[in-house]
Amino acid sequence: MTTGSLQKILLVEDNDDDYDLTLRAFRKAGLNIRIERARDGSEAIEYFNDPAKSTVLPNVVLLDLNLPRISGHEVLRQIRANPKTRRLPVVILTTSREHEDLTRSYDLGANSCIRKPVDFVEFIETVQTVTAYWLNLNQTPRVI
Amino acid sequence: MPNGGILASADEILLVLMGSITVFNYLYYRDPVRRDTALIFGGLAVIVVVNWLVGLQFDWVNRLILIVLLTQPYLLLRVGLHLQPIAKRFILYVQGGLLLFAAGVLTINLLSPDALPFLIMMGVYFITAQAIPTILFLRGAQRAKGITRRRLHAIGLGAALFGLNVSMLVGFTIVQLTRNRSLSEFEQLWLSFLSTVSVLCFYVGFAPPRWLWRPFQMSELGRFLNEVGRNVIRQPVEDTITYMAEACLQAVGGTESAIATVSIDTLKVTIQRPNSPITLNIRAQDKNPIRIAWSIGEPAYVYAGQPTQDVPSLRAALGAQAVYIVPICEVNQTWIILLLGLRGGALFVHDDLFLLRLFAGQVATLIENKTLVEKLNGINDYLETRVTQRTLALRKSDEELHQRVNQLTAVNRELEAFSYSVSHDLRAPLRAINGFSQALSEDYGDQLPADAQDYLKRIRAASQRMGHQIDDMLMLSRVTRTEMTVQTVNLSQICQEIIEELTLLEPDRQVTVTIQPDLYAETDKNLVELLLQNLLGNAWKFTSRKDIAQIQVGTLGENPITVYYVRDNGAGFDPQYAEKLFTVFQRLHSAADFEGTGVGLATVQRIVHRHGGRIWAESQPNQGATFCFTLAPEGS
Repeated sequence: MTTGSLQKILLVEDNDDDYDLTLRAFRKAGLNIRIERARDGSEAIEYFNDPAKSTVLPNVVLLDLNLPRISGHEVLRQIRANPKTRRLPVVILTTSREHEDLTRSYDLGANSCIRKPVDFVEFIETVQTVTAYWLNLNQTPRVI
Repeated sequence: MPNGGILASADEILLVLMGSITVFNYLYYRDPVRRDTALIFGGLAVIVVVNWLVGLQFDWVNRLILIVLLTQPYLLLRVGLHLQPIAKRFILYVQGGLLLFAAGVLTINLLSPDALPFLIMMGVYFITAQAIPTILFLRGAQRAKGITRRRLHAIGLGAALFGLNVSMLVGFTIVQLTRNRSLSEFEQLWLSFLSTVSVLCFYVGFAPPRWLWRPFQMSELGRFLNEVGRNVIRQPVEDTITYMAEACLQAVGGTESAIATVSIDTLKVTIQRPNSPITLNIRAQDKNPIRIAWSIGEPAYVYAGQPTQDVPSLRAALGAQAVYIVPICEVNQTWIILLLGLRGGALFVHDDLFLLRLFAGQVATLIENKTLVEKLNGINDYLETRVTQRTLALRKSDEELHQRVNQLTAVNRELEAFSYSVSHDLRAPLRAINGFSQALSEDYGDQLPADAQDYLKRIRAASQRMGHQIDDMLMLSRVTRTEMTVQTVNLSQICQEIIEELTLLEPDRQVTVTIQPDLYAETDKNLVELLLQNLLGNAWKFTSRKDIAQIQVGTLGENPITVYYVRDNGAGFDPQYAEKLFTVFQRLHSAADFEGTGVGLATVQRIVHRHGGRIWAESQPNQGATFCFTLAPEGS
């Protein structure tokens, strides 16, 4: 996986363990990616409303569904409602196996949905693949 | 007697007929009223017969005729006294006059002109004396009702006409004596006519023929029934009895009524008059007429001078000369006795008893009906109360049930939500355990001894197994929560697809799969797919040790509802644990032998139960297992 300019990912995740492990996985994979974190839904929405933080938008948003206060679905809805972030690739991370959660996510405009398995290896591989796909898709054609 | 042609002979024949009837009546019934009636008409018949036999040529015949005629007012008065009492002076007047004039008739030469004042006095006496019973009868008729009234009217009219007749006869005789001429044809005809009509009136009154008597009685009975029947259901029984007593009193011309009951234990007779609070207890002897009527249920008549015991006290109780005893009977038992007191005595005992029997029978029937209606109403009320109670109880228990169902549903939903969130939330720490174990192993593995690395590996394996269990529990809870969409589903095709997937995962295995074609069921496609995945997955798993594994899917013979089966020739199980198979986390094999979380069959059972069906398993260790299930309730 080659990367030109610095890639940025926004990880919306309240669970520190998951955040740390994800961060480690990306680092270990050697991806030149800057990972920024929002700890919950409101922080994520604030992130996009704060011009200082979002002058350069992240290339991909990894969004956990099960968030305190403002749910992942609401965050997704607001991302899609905002003209600035309307086309931002959003990958949903969820522990839920509920069919409704997935269909709702796609209905709200999620680009991918990843179910968090217990086995982290499997999870990270999936995240890396999907993230890389969306990162590359956002790249200029020559990179691909 | 003057000869008046056909009419005259008709009235004579009628008189003889009446005399015979009344005499025979008296000989048959032997009551004082019939005796006096027989005396009246017997006497008249005798003079007619004597007239026929010897004519008027002898002086004694004429005297006899006059004496018999003179007795008529007295005899009529005697009959009338049975009806109602009268001031003593009237009786004395009639009696005295009779004696006086009878003596005169016997001693005075009536054909001499000197006898004229006597004859005139006798005529005056006769008219006045005859007027007394006439008025008595007419007044009696005024008070009486129905048959008695009509008959009394007839008798009163007869008595009046008879009086008129005799008076005219006397008048004509006087004229005959003074003017010395015989009666004209017209006068004779007129006398015969009067006597014929009066005798006919007497006939109707004293001995009415059946054809006349019946309609009288029926109309009376009809009126009574109409009145009583209309009110019997609405009125209390006491009112009906009171009304009946009143009607009976009117029908027989009585004056006082009372109700008598007989104590079954002591046989003591208790008499209670409706309008008086006094209760009389009569010491009842064996022949007491009330007791007899009580036991045989037949109306009876008692009168003064009857040799029966207890009659005087009974008459005294009612203040009457004669008493009708009318038992009103229920099916087999006398209920009460109606006593009807007559101040004089009954004129027509036989008729009265017949009518009273009819009245009593009808009233008994009406009261029985009323009792039945009341009983029915009681039963209805009881039933209604019961129904209301039951309905209330049912509604209450229904409400309780409903509440309970609501509670249970709420609890169930809570439990589902709980198990869902537990399963859900447990995954995050597991992921951390797994992830950090891996990180530890990868980042610091070289600094760890082999044992420590092995432990880390085990931690990861255990956390992964737990993850699977949680996943399966989530699936189980989803089975209960998801809505069912029932449609016709091709089970054979689904089985085929599942087997293909299993084969893809383990392409090296030799498994002979036989699936009965065209197995259809009315079911939810997702759920039945999950069910078959589990059953076929188990069959696949438990035949893994067999060289030639066999799996069969089909339906069992003839059953009211289709029984599907999934059969394998795998490891099987001990049948004594067959019940435990379907419990969550119950496993009959060790994890080392066969993998599994112990949720699969619990899921299968839940799916079957959601269809209202049944699932059971048959097996022997190492003989394979057969899982049978239905997808519809029994009897559907």
